[in-house]
Amino acid sequence: MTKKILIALALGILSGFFVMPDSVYDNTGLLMDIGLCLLLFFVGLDLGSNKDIFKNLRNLGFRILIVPIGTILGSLTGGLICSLIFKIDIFGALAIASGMSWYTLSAIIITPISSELGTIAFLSNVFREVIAFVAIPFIAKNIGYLETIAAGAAISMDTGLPMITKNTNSEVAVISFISGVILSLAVTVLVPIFVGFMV
Amino acid sequence: MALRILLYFGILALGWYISSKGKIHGNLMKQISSIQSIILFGLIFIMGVRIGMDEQILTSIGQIGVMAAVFALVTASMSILFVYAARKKIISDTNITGGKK
Repeated sequence: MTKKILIALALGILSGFFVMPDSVYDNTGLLMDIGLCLLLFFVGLDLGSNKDIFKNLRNLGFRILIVPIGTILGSLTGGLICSLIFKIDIFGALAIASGMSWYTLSAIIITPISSELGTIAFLSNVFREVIAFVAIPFIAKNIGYLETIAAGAAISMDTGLPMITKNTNSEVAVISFISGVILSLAVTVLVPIFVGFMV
Repeated sequence: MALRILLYFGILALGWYISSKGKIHGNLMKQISSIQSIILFGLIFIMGVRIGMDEQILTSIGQIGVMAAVFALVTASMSILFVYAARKKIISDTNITGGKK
């Protein structure tokens, strides 16, 4: 699976760079939206065929919140580590880490304060999405199902959801959507807070 | 964003409703995994096309690519580590953890 993902991604990047005319770019957003909606519909079909999902999830209750909370705390810790590695402003690093794969929003909020950190936020969150796509099959097989959600963070409710569903099961798909919604909301709160503290 | 969340939730709920009422032919249900794979790889391909055509990404990769890649790797790894550590203590249902204890 990982090999096929890498091949599809590489083919896309190469054709985007060498083959596609500029006019294609504007249509790719619409194509992604259509593809994503179709995938989410099929994920829904999958969920509907499993009668025990909600019974199993009810048994877990609030314990499923460890996924978004762990993901947020992990991302912030990662931001602190990176601020030490690269010797950059702690709050700037935390703002970048709080993007949690939502590259457009984090970059838009950070760029007016620092265009360099804004660009890092944009690129690092693009990379995090790509890393998640490539790593999810490996993580699901070798580490655990819930950790697949932590890899991509905010994308767990949209672009990452079909990939997580394909490599885990229906219960984890529901947890993924709920976690993705919580994480996306957290991005909108955390990034402006840390940007407010930036020097 | 609220509209987007509602849209995604609505589509998921529609699929769930149709399927739970048994309105989908058994043969189609068997094909769902293959159809999902085709659309998924198409989506990844288009994502690649967008990256390949995005000048902002391409010009900044050379300058701060390594820093951004380290940020992505460290934040994703730490998130995985935190969730792993928490679920080891709190969740024992192997159906949810993927057979891992």
